[in-house]
Amino acid sequence: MTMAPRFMLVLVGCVMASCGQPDSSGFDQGVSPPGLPSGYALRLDRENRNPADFVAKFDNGDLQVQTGPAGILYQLDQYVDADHFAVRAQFSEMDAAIGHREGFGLFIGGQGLVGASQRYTYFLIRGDGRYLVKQRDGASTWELSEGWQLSDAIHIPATGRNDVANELAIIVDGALVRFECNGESLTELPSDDVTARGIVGVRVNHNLHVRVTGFQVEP
Amino acid sequence: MSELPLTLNRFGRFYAPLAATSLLLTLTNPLLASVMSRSVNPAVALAGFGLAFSLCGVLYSPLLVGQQVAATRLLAGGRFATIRHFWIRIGGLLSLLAFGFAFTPLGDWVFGGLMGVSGDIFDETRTATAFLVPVPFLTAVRAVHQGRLVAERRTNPIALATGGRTATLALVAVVLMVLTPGGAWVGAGAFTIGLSVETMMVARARTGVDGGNQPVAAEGVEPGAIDDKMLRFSTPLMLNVLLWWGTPLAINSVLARSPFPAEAIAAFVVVESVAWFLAAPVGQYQHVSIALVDCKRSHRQVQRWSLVLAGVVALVVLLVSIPPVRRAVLGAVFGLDAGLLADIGAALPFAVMYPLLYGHRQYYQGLFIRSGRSDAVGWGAAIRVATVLIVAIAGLGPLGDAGATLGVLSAVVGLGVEAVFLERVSHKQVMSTLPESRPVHHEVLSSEGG
Repeated sequence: MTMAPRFMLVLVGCVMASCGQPDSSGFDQGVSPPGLPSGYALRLDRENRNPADFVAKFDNGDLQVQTGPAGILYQLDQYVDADHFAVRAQFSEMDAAIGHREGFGLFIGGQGLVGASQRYTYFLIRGDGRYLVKQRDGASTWELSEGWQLSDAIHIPATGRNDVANELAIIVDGALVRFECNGESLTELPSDDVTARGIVGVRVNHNLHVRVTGFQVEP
Repeated sequence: MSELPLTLNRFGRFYAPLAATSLLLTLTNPLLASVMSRSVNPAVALAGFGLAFSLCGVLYSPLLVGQQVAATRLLAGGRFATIRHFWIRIGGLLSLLAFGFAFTPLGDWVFGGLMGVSGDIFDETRTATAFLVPVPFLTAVRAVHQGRLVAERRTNPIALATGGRTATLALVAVVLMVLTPGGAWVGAGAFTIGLSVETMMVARARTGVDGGNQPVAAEGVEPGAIDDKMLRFSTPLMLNVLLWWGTPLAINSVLARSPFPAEAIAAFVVVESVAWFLAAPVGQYQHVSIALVDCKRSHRQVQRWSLVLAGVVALVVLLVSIPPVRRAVLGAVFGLDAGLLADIGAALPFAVMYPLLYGHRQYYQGLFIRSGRSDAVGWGAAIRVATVLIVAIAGLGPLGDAGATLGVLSAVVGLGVEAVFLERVSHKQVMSTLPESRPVHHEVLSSEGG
């Protein structure tokens, strides 16, 4: 196959040229990219995702988040260093499809969010009525709730494409951390098992449109 | 056929129906992936389908040789009822195994332990597997009836049934997608219904009505895979088929252990479906080398034409890989988000090597089968799969974030190593058995329908 080696060389060159143009435009960890509200920072799960595909803006005082890629959104100065505090907000999944299994919710204990050693604990719900508590430490994550757990406390769309609101709260109360939805405790964990001290914010997974209302940190 | 002079025209007339039916066969996966990409949860749906289908492929691939077995036995005077009974029992047993994966704790071990799947992907995979339970049984029934038709030199009903399957599964998938939130089960259900229609069509095709005997492509089966008198000859070829169908399962099982398994497997499933569909025209080269190569001169001629076709196909894949083109094409065909499309786009350029390496593999495998060296085919397949696994596992750390690229690279390196092996065996042991020019009297192995 005398033609083959030359042809292969040309082809490999073309392949390399084709690979040279990534589809995403890079990732600035923890820096406010254009398109985010002032003072907010974004950390996407994957470095090869485009931050421009994670859109956040304020609309009548509510934070509207539309994704793209999964990530966390937070205010750079919202650091909580206390044994007793609560973070709460109302989340409405807009145009929610029945059975949509992408999660959104709160995170606490954000540390090193601009580096490879990021840590935080997050509490998510999703459109099929399940919740998840998970811990991130660098690239590793592990479930604290033993997977996505079903709960009647979570409001789900009754018919297709409804907007559904759920009030989420993470309550750090000394040795215990409580995870609540619509005023009902879904699970409690020892505070030793979670990262509690650090930046707080919201987490929104893939391809969601979520309205966040009344995000607040209570002492 | 080989008493005629070997010309480009004859090559084209021989190969065109094979390439066309091969395209029709491989259209299944991009069709299903396109529909499932419009699910409420597209990444999980595609990943679940990819895992379930790759496991199902391993189960039903040994049954594909049923076509050759049935044809060979019928031509040797065997009773069709006996042959059918035998294959239906084997198909039934393998469907029972699939049932075990879908509905018993055996599935926990296979999906969770062996394949490394968890969470939503686990649920999707298991549900899709439940919908695929009848597939081994249907494959066995289809294979024996295809063998009957091949033995009767009636291959047009086989091609017609393949078209019927593709049309049916496309229609069913679209209807299910419109009426439901979708998921892996849509692809699995549509595939099973499509296969049922194909099986009924070949089973109902009667003897001696039309005489169509153009060669048609079969799924992953090497011609001559079964020879009653030579089990040693056939075994490496059956192993080759099994390993070919087992490769996606091996890669998916590694990707299931990557940091973003759903996205990695989903993107890999889409890339594979597109790349193998585009590469389909070179997938039947084994028939060419078996039927048309009888001397070194014809080898050089056929190889040159085959290389040109493989080069053209590779250029098509390259064209689709160019960023603006792939964004437009993949964006239109697959309803995926920009992130997944970026993963697919990053992996696709490496698939440019598929047509060249795959075409090379198929050509030499045919040549080796013709030369009685099926053992080399089996060894090549084993070396390829071992390489794929080594590359995939070794790459999980540095490339785990780009799972689809890792999957395609593993497959390319595996095919590359197999190509080197096949070339070496060819130069050292096979080429010397071919005469320089066409012998006056010779015997040609029939590749019809295989």
